[in-house]
Amino acid sequence: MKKVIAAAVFAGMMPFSQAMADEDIGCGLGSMVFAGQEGKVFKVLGATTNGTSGNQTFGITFGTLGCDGDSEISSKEKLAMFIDGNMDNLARDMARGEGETLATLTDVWGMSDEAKAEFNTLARDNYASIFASENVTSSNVLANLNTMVAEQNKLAAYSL
Amino acid sequence: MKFWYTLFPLTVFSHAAFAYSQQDIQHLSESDYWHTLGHYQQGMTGSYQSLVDSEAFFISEQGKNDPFAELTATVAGFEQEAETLNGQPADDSLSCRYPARFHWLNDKLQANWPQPVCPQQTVWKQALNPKGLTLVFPTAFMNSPSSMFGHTLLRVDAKDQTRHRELVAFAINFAATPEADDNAFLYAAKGMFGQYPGTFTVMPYYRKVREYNDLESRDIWEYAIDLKEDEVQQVLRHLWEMNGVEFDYYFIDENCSYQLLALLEAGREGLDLTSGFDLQAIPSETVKVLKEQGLIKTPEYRASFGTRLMHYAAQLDDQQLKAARDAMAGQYPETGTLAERAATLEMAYEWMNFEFYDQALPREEYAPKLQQLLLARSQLKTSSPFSEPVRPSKSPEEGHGSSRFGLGYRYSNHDEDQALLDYRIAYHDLLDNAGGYIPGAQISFFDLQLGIDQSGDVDLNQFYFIDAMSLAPDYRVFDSLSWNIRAGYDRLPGRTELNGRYFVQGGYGKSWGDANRLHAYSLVSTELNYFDAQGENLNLGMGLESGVVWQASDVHKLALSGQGYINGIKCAGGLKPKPAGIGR
Repeated sequence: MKKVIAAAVFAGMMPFSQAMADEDIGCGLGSMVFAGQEGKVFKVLGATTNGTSGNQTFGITFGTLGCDGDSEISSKEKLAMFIDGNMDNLARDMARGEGETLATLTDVWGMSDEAKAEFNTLARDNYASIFASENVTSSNVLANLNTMVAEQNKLAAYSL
Repeated sequence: MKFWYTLFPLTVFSHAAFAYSQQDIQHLSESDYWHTLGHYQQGMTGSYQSLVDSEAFFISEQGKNDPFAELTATVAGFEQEAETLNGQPADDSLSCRYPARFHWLNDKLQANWPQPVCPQQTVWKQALNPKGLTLVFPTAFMNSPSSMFGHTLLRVDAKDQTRHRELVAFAINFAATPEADDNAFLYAAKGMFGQYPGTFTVMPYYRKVREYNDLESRDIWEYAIDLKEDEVQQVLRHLWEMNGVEFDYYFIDENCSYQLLALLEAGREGLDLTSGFDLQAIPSETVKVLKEQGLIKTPEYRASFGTRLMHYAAQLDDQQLKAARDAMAGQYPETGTLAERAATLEMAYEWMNFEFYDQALPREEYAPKLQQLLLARSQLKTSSPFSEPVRPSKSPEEGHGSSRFGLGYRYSNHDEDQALLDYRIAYHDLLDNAGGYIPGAQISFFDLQLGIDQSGDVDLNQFYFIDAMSLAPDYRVFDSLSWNIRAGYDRLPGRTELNGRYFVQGGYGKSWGDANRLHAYSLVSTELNYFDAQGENLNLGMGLESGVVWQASDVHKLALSGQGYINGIKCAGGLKPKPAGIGR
């Protein structure tokens, strides 16, 4: 358990720390991370996460993906939380266009094998706009990825 | 007690329709499986006590110490709900709170109670979508004594799981919750004496992978457990019963690994995993128990951050490593093939990121540098030139046992010859076979040596309470320090005789070479001695401890070590052959 404390200390020092400020998030990150954001993705996320933050203690222990036990979690929320918990591994994988974290992301997104390959290359080529700075938040990253997906013919069907 | 037991059925089991008798209840309350579900342990006198320390866990007021009373109260509760609930959803009903008990008793007693409707649990199960379980074993991290034995947790493998979806599967963890402001000493002491509450938690597996693989740089082994789907379901039903339940957490025995075995036992009636661990439960030993019972096969392997970094470095020559160092300083490669430049930038990123975590470097300074390295890498349209680390030939459960018994003989010019008997409880030292263990790391407890001379006199030559050493060799990429700590009793050669002493000793230094072949170390060392039969009883020594360890073949090692101290009287050295060992 000491390691969890250590993890929390480290988390604040990660390159993309705004989103990594608390590894235990999931619950209750809605209003914090998605505040002030526009668009469909954020409405979905904000609504769900805000709605469940009151039950955080239960959520962190036995909840579904970090949120409370009696609401179902959609694949979009799962995607957002995965990005949120894996920001710097995702950044590394996207810069290379390959890696387990990236593979998991496209899997959770529900992409076909063909779409995954397309997404990987696209993510590498657009790295500069997806991870615009070291202070980008996970919600920015998801929004940027979604924009990228929506604008690409072969991937448009997967936009959120 | 007897009186109470004969009266009880009149009040509770007076319903004529039930197919089971009082004897059935009595019989079930004495069964091993009921003891598993209640975490009961039998004491010396035959009485029972549950390891669960939350009163709320028990339905009966006597539940903690009386398996029969608890079973009777459970059945009575289920009976009542079967009549009153009538299929109504009720998350807080007993049958929803104790699904494993309900499932088992309904079957054993052929009670035909209607299945309870539990909305919370249904959603939870849907999210977990369980098909199988995997035992996850993050090995020790060599520079962190608290992690030396490793840790174990479970992963719930979903029905739609692929290798890539493992990260989003759920992990079941059992851990102590220490007071955040306790210092290291309090942490160790409280942990030893069960002062921290331990609880089960469930969270996405990627969080544990990041914690162990990335933040603490510990390799992870994943053992798929051979349980059928309905057995997995029963484990999870019992896990639900454990929600919020506290155990006193003891580092040595009632620890994470012990509790996970106890949880797994709920999966199959007749499974006995915990009975061999009355005194200690070392994670690697618990993996061995699962293997002995045929419950696991060849594991999967997840290389840690540090292992990956070493593997990348091994694919580069010194010049390329220097180029990576330059890139870390902001001088990116301008010449070379695409693959060479990608290798330089990827190595630079991994290396800097490792140092960033490992040394807790300031984010303001390093985050932009890391970001720039990734940005530069993303502009090279080529796949990664590096291969990923492969699984080591030996996994932890294939390593040697933790206890050791040894025989030896000591010849002396000044003293009588002695036959030597060695015994150590746990767990691994530098001269043990390294397979399955971390190279260059040692941690041993209760290391005892008796000497018997020709006249049959027995001497206590050595009793080391703890003898730990971490010799992280200076690879081309790491620059870590080595250390050791030792405490106990031994007898040192003096001018005329052996002098017994109690001591504490600690050293700090460097090591060189390759821990899998030949490596050397040198530590600056301090020791505090208390001699039991000398005028000047207490003394402080400062000195040097150095040694060479050579892995001569797969099964043979040779070590030469020397210690020199000033102010202390000690000056010992010599060749220490490995005693003929019988592993457990």
